[in-house]
Amino acid sequence: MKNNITHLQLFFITANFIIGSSLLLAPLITGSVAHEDAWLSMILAVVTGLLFNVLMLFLMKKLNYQSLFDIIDQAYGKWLGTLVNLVLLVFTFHLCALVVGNTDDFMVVVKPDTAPYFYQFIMIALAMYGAASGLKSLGKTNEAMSLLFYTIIFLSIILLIPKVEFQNFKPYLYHGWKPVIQGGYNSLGVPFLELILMTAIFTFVKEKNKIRRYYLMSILFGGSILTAFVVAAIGVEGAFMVQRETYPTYSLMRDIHATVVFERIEIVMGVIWIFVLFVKITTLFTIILLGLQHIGRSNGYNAYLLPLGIAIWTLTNLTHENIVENAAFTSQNWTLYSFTIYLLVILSLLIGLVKQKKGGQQQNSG
Amino acid sequence: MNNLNKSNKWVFGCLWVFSLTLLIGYSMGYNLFPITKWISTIFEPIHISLFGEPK
Repeated sequence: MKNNITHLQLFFITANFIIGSSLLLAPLITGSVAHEDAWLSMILAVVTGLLFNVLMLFLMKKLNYQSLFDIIDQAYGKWLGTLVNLVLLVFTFHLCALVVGNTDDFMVVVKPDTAPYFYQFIMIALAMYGAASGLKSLGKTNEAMSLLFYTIIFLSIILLIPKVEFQNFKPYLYHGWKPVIQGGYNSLGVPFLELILMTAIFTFVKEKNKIRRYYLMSILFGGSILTAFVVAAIGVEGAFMVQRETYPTYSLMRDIHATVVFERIEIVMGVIWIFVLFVKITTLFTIILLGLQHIGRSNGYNAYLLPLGIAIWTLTNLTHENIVENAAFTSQNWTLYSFTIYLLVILSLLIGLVKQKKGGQQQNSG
Repeated sequence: MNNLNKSNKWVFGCLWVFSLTLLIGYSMGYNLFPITKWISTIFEPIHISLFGEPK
């Protein structure tokens, strides 16, 4: 019961899951390869990501939005199913540690005199509390806060429009389509293919018939925010500066001078980013706990909270030394890694569907 | 906690062993779960063959 969410809460969780790591990093990931055409890369990533998720949604609907872990067990049997579920959990666990790493990498830039461990502890403790409270609490908090944050995001984008210089987008496609495709490929893995993990929480949505519409709308919404920030970053700062900034979106906010009071608002963007990262980390934390609960065949998951928190904290410090290593790892490996997991899930859904149909036919003939 | 069944005990025990091993290894300067390295070993050559060496 504590995990039941509404379709609107699913919309906000998915949108923040997309915006999560990418809000500050998307211009860097796309701009470093596609330069002035980074906005084209982002559009390409959104469209491709949408198509990948349409296929997943189609299969999930056929399977009545059952829990992903149950579908995998049905598809492969008890032992192989547990092994596949473990692979999925390792991917989620790794992603969760990387996202916690994103938080402390960013906070160390904003406030360098505090140890990164401090931010990691706070973020993991919050995620543990959020996961223990359930998806319902996360959904409600997220729903209330997101409306405020999206208003600030839209206001920021509107205030940036007069500063956009169209010269910064030229020359179009100077290096051809290859860098554009590479930029799109890099962005595809980070928020869009990872979304396959959301299949684990579809089963908790109350009105299942609304999942498809709201989920696709949230992908379009999250993707549009990312595209808007890539366009703003290239248009205001230019591709040259975007490639050299660690967090281009954060620096972009420094350029807003609406009135004497409303300037240097970049920290507001920092607060928004930390909040969306919290949502992403808590969602991932809950998915891992649900997976462990499924494998352990237990009634609840609170017993796993502390050891999981310790493991995620340790892995956060073991995955990468700094943001440069993290960005290099993400851009070179993450899309293929998440695509492999995507294929594994899609294959599991297909096998689960075939087995369910065969079971249904046998029951009818018997 | 009092209602732990057999498979539940296994998962619970394995998770604690994994977490503590990882933690003790990290505090002694060892990476006992180098997943980032494993993933890079598998996927980096494919990425380079697709898009070339990073500039």
